[in-house]
Amino acid sequence: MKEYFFLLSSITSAMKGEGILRKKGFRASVFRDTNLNPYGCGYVIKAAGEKEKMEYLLKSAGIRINEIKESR
Amino acid sequence: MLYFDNAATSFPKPVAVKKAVENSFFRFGANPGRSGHRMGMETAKAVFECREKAADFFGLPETENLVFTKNCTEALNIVIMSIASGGGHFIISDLEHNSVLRPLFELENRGTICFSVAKTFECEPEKTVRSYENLIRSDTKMLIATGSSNVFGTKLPVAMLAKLAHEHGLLFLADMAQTAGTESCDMGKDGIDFICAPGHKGLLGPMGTGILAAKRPELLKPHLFGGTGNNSLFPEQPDNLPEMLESGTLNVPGICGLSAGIDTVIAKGTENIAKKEMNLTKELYSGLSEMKNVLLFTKPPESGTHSPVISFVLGDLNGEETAALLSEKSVASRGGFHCAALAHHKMNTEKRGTCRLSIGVMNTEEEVLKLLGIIHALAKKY
Repeated sequence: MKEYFFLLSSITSAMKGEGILRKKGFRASVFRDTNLNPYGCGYVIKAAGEKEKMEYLLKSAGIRINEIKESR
Repeated sequence: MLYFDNAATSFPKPVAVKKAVENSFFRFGANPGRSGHRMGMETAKAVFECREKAADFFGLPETENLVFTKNCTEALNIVIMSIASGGGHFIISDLEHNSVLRPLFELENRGTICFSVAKTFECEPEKTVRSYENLIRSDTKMLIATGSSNVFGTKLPVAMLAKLAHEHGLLFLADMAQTAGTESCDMGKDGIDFICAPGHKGLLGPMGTGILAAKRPELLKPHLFGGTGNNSLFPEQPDNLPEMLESGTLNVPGICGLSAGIDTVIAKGTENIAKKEMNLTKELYSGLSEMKNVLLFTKPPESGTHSPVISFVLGDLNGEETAALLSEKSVASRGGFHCAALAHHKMNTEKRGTCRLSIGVMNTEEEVLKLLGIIHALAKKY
């Protein structure tokens, strides 16, 4: 299963998103990573699963995603 | 000490609140939303959990639109200053606290906005609503109402006023300084656009905590600029909530205590808390009303129309003197004008002030009886 990094600006959004994905059965965790996130002090939701579905769930909850990167 | 000053801040705090504050120094000692190390992330999680809990408590589905402030006053200022930035007309009640009156007064003096004061009617919600409605103008932007007077315990029909505001395409701000924690509230159902509340009164948290819950977050503007832990490479203040309005380090011990306070309120149930407080208030009012030389200012309290607050004075004394006498007997009350100029002008108590007794969830019937005994003895002398 592929893993994705959802790059966000807000720790609150990241934690909200983590909860939403977990409730839907996705394996998700939040961490801070300025290497992945070039926007300066950002947060990342690392989650495994279907990208489009996860992106939909996050955006439907009003979470602003700066960028989505695929784990290598 | 007999503590009857819960309208200023609730006391004593539940043991769980004290433990949560203490625990925060051990488990959540890092700066949330700043560093990525384990304790930093765990602290951020603790803050998020409280945010989620508080948002849920007020029926706000979007957790991020729940902003932590240092008190209710700051929350009120953020909303008022934001909405007033484009000018316009505001309507408030004649029972509002200075934390609503003063920012509007200041803005009016600067020539930014103007405001009107609606006359309210104790136990007559329809008349109060009509009073607001009669003041609506073409440039009116917002109606503001306190959930309950902090001096006289008179409740205002918040949900009806919110409905009125929306019927006229206006915004509605509820100042829940005295009612948060004792009155269930659903922002969606009640149609409230903004709720401002202290964390340290009915929600039983520590002082230094406040809440702003926003259904119309896009209308808010920052009034404090600085570090938010995000978008650090950009000079602009981030435009996302809650960070946009939470510059600087958060009061983590306070928020952890508030989290435990909300847990306590939920466990006890707001209706049960309100019922207990109102029963004690009725007992106190009933006892006071039978004493000579005790002057009361409101009708007998009833749930729905009153919060657990009673204002009175003894004989010819003023509010401060009455409170000082009680203090000598180890009773904590509050004398004077209670930061509520409008309310005192309305009730013609602007010269004497009043002595306020405010009941909280931790008060007992035994304490009320002791208090009645003390006032009874004092009333004979004055």
